[in-house]
Amino acid sequence: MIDLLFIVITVLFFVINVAFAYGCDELMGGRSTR
Amino acid sequence: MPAWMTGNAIAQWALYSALLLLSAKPVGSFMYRVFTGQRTFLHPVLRPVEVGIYRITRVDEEEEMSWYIYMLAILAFTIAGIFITYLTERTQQWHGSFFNPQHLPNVTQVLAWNTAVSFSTNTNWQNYTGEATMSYLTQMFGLATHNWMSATTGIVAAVALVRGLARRTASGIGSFWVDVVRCTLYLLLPILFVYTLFLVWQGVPQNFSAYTVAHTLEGTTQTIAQGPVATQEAVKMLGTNGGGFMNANSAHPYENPTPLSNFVEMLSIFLLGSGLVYMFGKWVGNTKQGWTLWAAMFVLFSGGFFTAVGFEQNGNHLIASQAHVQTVATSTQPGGNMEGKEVRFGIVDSAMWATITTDASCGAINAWHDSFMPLAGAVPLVNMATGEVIFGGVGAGLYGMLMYAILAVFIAGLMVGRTPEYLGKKVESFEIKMASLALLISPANILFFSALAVVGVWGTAAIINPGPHGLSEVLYAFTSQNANNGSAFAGLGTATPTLQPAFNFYNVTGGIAMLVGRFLFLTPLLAIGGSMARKKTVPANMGTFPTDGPTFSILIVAVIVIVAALTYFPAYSLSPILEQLLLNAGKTF
Repeated sequence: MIDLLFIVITVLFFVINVAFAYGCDELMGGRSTR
Repeated sequence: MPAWMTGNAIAQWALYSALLLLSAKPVGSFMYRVFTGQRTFLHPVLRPVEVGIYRITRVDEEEEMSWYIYMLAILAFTIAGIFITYLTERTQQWHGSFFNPQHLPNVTQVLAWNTAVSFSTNTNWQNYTGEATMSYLTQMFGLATHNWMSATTGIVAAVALVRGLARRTASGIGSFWVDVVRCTLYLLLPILFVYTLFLVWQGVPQNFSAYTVAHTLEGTTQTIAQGPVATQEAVKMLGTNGGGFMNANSAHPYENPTPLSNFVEMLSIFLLGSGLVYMFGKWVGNTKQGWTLWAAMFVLFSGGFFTAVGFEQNGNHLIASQAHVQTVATSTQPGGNMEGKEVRFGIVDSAMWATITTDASCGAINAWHDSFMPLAGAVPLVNMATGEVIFGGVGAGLYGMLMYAILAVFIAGLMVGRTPEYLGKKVESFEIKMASLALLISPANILFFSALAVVGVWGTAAIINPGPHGLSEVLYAFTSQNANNGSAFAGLGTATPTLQPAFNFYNVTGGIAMLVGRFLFLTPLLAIGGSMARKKTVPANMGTFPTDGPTFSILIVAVIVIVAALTYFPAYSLSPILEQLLLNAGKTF
């Protein structure tokens, strides 16, 4: 159960980081994601 | 000349600096050839291996990634590494007698996660005793492998940013997978092969033996750890990882046996970081651009070293006032503050190591930073807080320094009322927004978790020293983890039953701080690379601020110092600065 908790924390961080990167690219006009 | 400026300090600094300077060009030129895909003297042997890897993994050597895809590749590579390391630690009781001759049990969940994140982010924060916790397989496959991979990730991220700065009207900044393969094969593998043999020659063990039990003259027994130490030690230093095989790290004679190994280990921390700066200059077509950053880094390194060695050599005046205590350096003893130091290395080597290991994101230690004089201990703290841009962690130092360079041209642009330019490209609002984001992420990360730690028993229960020194211990822990350094000030409680909840607090929050400090910091910087790659160059004119001379070096140093002072002075005034003032008044912690 605790193992699962840490897997979830890790995945959650990376999802947030991908969203952050997407947001940065949107500021640039979305040139790398569209 | 002040009494603390000993001949030993000046000689070691001068020799170190000369060798670092001499190595920058050959190492940087070689890196340039590797990452631009040019032929090197290793190609006859390694090129077939490289091509074979591309075939097996179906990687297109000519592929170009946008900055966003490059970032996703870094994240995917890292998350896979975290899970593999976690699994390795959690299953080590089944590693067998060859890979786990001490029959060490599985690592607990929270510690396994903290360690997996730590080694995957190049931090190598170690909340455990290596030789009593990790099996040989975990040390080799889980930890040493990540020393390679995390170092590679840092280097290729810097290479991608440099590519972005150097290219014109391009949409891509290279291929992450191709960069990783080239970095591993041509750069790390050959150097580490030779380096490992050197360490074995110096006396570092490389075996799979069970630990040796020695019978002492007092009639007791002592267990002496063995293992594949040399392979891990080499990459630990060259890759600016810092995670030791042994708990005592490079103060242990099996990790750092001789004065020569100590000097070479210090030199290897800066070797690639220094070379990367030269590579940057060569890549953008003007090596003076690289030397300008190199000079700024060197000034900051020298300032840090002489500050640390000065306070350490002066020592504690309260001890000096005691009868029969000699704190002045003589030909037969080092004098100064010898608390927490390995006597083989003394004050100069300890202060020099502490400065270098935190200028870079290494984190290996050969002395106890917690025992340094308050303002000598502030040197590693400030080094890490400024982002370890002084030659820096492999890759991380250069991309952090380029962030400051962009801020510096922005400030210079404000002064003269012109649109700032860097390397012939206009620096516009997007780049400034991204540099500001990167700049704010680190202090937010450090100060939020430090504040959280000192407002409740979950954090305070683990603090061993009271008063400002205790705050330094907490600040140092989160600064180190945010900066992916990994060195510990020490003084935070270990996994005793009564401190178990607090221990878990630092493992969990520390793990998050390491992830934020590595990847949320890197993301806007790669975005700058992607944005700059698309721009056209404009010819320099009378109004262009030159970024390839001593004026720009001074400006960068000033920006780094002023930003650090504005950001952290309130916190430091309650920790090392207050501690020094109270020490002057006769109070210790």
